[in-house]
Amino acid sequence: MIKSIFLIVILFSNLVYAQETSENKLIKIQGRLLEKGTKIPLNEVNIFLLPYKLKATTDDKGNFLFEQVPAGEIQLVVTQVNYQRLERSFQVSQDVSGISIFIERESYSAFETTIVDQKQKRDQSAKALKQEQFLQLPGSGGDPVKAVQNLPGVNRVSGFSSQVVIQGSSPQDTKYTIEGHEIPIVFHFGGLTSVVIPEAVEQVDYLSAGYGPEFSRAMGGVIALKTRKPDVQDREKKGFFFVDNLKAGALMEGKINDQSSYLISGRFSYVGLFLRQALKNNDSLNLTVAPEFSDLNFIYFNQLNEKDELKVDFLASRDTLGFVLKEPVKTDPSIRGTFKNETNFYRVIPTWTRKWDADRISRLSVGAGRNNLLVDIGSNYFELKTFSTSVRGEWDQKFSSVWNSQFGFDNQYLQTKVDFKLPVFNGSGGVSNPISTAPVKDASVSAKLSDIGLYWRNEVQPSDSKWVYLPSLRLDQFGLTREKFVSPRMAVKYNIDDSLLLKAAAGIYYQAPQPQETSIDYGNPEISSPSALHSTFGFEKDFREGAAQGLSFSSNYFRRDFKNLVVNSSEMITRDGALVPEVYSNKGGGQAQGIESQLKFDFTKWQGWVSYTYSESKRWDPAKPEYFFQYDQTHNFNLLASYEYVRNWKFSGRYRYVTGNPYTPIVGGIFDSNNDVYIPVRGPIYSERQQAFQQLDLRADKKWILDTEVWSFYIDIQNVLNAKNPEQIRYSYDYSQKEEVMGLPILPALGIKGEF
Amino acid sequence: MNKMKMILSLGCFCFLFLSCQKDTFKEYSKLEDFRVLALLPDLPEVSPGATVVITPYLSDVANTGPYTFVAKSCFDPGVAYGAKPTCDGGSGVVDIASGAVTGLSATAYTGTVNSFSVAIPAGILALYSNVDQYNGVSYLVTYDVTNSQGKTISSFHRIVVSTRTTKNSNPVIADIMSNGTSLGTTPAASQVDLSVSLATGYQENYDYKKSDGTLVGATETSLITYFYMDGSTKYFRTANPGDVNTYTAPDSYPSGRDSYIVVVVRDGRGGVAADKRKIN
Repeated sequence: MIKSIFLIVILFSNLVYAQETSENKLIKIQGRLLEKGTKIPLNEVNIFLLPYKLKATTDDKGNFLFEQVPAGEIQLVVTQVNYQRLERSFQVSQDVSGISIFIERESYSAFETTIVDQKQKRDQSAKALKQEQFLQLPGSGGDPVKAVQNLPGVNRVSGFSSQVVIQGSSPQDTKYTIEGHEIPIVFHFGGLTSVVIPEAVEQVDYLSAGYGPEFSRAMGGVIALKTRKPDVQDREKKGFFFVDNLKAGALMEGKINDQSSYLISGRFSYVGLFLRQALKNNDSLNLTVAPEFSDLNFIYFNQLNEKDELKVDFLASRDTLGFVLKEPVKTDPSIRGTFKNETNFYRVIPTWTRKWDADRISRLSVGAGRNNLLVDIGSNYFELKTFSTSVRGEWDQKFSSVWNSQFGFDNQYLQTKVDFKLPVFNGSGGVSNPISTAPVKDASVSAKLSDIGLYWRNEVQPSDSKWVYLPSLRLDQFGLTREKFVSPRMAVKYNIDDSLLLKAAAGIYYQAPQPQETSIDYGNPEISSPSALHSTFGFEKDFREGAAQGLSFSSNYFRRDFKNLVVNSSEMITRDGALVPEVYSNKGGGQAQGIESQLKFDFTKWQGWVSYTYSESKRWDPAKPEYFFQYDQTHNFNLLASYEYVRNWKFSGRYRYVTGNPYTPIVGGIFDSNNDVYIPVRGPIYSERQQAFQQLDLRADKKWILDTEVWSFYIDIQNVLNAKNPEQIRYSYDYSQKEEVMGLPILPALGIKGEF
Repeated sequence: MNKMKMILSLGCFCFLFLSCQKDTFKEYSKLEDFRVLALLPDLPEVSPGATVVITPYLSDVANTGPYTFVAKSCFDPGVAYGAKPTCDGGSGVVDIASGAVTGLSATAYTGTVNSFSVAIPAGILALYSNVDQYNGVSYLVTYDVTNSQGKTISSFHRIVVSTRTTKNSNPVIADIMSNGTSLGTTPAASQVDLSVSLATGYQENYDYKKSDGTLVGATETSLITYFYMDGSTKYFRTANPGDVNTYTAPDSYPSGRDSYIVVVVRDGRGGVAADKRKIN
C-alpha cells in the first residue's frame, strides 16, 4: 500500500513538472562518461539531471543521451560505487553533443595483500605477487623479483646481489623463467632492477619446497615471471613514461583489431653518468664504458577464434660495463688493466593455447634466442655464445569431476661456444684465494646439449571428500652429464573448512652441475648432478571467512636434504693414468630446515603483512666438519604496511631484521713469492657471524588525477635510520688488519610517471 | 655458466663500488714491520733433478732481530687449487735448512740474507700428463722466519719443473731510474718520477700447451712493486718497467738509519729480481 502511494506521488510530481516547463525549449544532451585520468568508458552508470530528475544510463562505450531537456540551468549528478560523487551545474540553451564527463575513482592504488586465490593457485608451494603489490612495495623499487625477497622463506642476500635465495639453498639453486622458459639472468648488473619492465609483468610466482612437476633442474626453487596480455578491454590505446634517478622508460599498448593487440616497452639506465662524475678524479680507476643497461619487451596477443589464442613475447636485455685500473689491486696483482663486461640476451616466446572444450586445454610454447656474455679481465677473458631453444607443451585433461591431469614436456636445447682464459676460482669457506695464485686455463669449447623433461601431474579429489591428492612424476635427462632421473613428487591438501587448509608435499629435485664444473679443461668431467629431497607441511587460515577485509595466516615447515653437492677440491687424483687436480668433487652434503609464517592484514586503509622465518642451513664435506651454510639466517623478520591517505596519497614502509650471515674468519696470511700476494689462512669454516641486519624503508606515493592523464610521484627512502649493516669484511694485504664494509647508507630514490 | 657469470659480473660491480671506498690499512709499499719481500730463485724453471738456490729478501726497519729460519720443500699439495701452502703433513717433505738468518745489516735493514739450496726430485714429473710435463709442475719451497719477539712470517715459492726446452730465466734489473737518470740521493720534500730499466729481452716469449696438446705462444707480463721506507709513492705496483711512478720524498729523512727504495720485478712465471737504492 505504501509503495503504491509512493509511485502515485512520483508520477503526479513528474506530470506537474511537465506542465510547468511545457513552454520552455527542449534540447538534447549527448556525451560520454569516462573514468578520470585513465579515460576508461564507464558502462551501465546512471546519470541524473536535476532538478528535472531525468536519468540516462551509459552504454559499453560510456555514451549517454538525454532527450527533451528543458533549456536553462541544470545540475548533472553521477553516483557510482567506488567512484567519487560528481555534481556539476551549468546553463544549456541549445543541443549539446560530444561532451566528456570524468569521474574520479576513490583509489588508484590497489595494494592488495591477498595472495592469489586458492583456486587459481595450481602449485600448492607457490606464493604469488601480483602487479598491484610489487609495484608499490617499499624498498624494492617496484621490481617484481626484488619484491619476492619480502616473502617468508626467502633469505636476504647482501651487497649488490639481488639473487633470490630460497629456504637455505644456494643462489645458484634458484631458476628464473619468463613464461616458463629459462632466462640466463634476471637482474641487470648490481641487482639494480630485473630485466623486464614491472608494468609488463602480470604476476611473479615463487615456487619453494615441494614445488610441482612442471619445473625441474633447480634444487632451491623457481621464480617464474608471467607477462600480461595487452590491456585493451577499456581503451584502445594507452601508455606511460617514467623517469627516476637511475633509469627512464616507457610502455605503450593498444588494439590492432578486434582480435589482436600489442604492448611494447623499453628502458635504459643513465647510472653511468653519475658514476662517471663520481670517479672523475679517481687515481686508481678510469671508467671507460659507463655501466649501462637497457631492455626491450614486446608482447603480441591474438584471440584467433573462440578456442585458440596466440601470445608472443619478445624480450631483449643488454648490460655493459668497462673500466681501466691504473695500478694492480693490492691483494691481487693479476687484477689489473682493462675490464670489460657485456651481457646481452633475447628471447622470442610464442605461446599457443587451445581450449578444446570445457575439459581439455592444450598449451605449446617455444623460447628461442641467444645469450652472449663477454668478460675481459686484463689478460683473462671469458666469452660465451649460446643459442637456446626451449620447448614446453602441456595437455590438461579433466577426466572426471574427481580427476584432473596434465601431461607435459619441458625440453631445452643449447648450442654453446665458450672461449676462455681464466684462473680456476677457489673460494673455500667463502674466502677467495688471490686469482693470481690459481692456474690459468685456456680453452675453446663447443657443445650441443639437450635437456629432456617429461611430467605427469594429477589432481584427485574424491567426491564429498575434504582430501585432495596430487601425485606427480617427472622424468629428466641432462645432456651435460648424460644422466637420467625419475623424480616422484607428491602433495596432499585437506580442507577442514572453507577457511582452514592443511597441506603437505614432498619430492626429489635434480640439478645439473655448472658446465665449468664438468669441463675437462676447467673442472672434473666425472662430476654428476646433485639432488635435494624436499618435504614440507603447513596450513593456511583465512580469518576473513568470506569478508573482503580482515586477517589471514599461513605457516609451513620445510626441509631439504642435499646430496652429491659439488665442492672445491685441492686433491690430486689419477685420471687416464696421469696425476691431475680433482678441482671439484661430489662429496658435499647439506640440510636446510625451518618454519616460515606470514600474517596478512587487509583493512580499508591499512594493508600489509608480517612474515617470520626461523631456519637452519648446514653443509658438510669430507674435508670439513658440519658447518653453517653461507646463507644460513636463523631469524628473518619482515613487516610491510601501507596506508592509503586522502587525495591519492599513500604511505608505506618495510622493516627487516635478519640474523647476520656466517663467515669464515681469516687468521693470517702466507706470502706467495711467485705472485707477490698473501694467501689467506682460514680459521674454522663459517664459524663466525656478521652483525644482524636491520633496515627501515619508507615510501610515499602521490597521484594527481587529471581528466585525461595521471601523474604519479614517489619517493622511496631505503635505510631511513641509516643503520650500519656490515655486508662483508675486507682485509689488509697480509690479512693482519680487517674492517667491515657497510651496506648502503640512507638512500633516497625519486621517480615520476605520467600515464596517458 | 650462470654461476661463473654471476661471479664475474658481481665481482666487477663490487670492485667498482669498493674502488671508491678508502681503507685505513697499513700501506703495502711502506717498509716498516718485519716482512719477506721475495724469495729469489737463481733458476725459476728447471728440469727434474736440478738444484735451485733460493735467496730470501727481507726487510725489518723496526730492527726486531736476531732471526731464525726454517726452510722445507715438498711436492706441491695443490696450492693453486686451494690447498694450504705448507709442507707440514705433505708428501715427500725435505728439511732443507734451518738456523740463524745472517746478512740483514744495520742502517739498511733490508736486503738479501743467507741462501739455501733445493734439490728437485728426479721423478717429480713421472705421474703427470705430457701437457702438464711441458707446461710445468710446481715444487714447493717454504721459508718461515721468526724474529726475537716470536713473530713468524711464513712464505713460499713454487719452482716450476718442466720438460720445456727453453726454460724461463729471471728478469734482470739494469737500473732504477729517477727522472730518467739512475736513482740516487733524493732531496727531502722533492718529487721524482721513478721507473725501472730491465736488461734487454726482459719480456721473454714462451709457449704453453693447451689441453688438446696444441702449442700457444705468449709473452711474459711484468709486475713491478715499489717499496719505500720514507715518503710515499703514487702507485705501489706498475705493470710495465717503463711506467712512471711518482715518489714524494719525506720533509726530512730520519736520523740513525738510511732510507731506501726497493724494487721487486716478477715475470709472472716464477722469475723474480730485486734491487734497492739508498736515497738519503
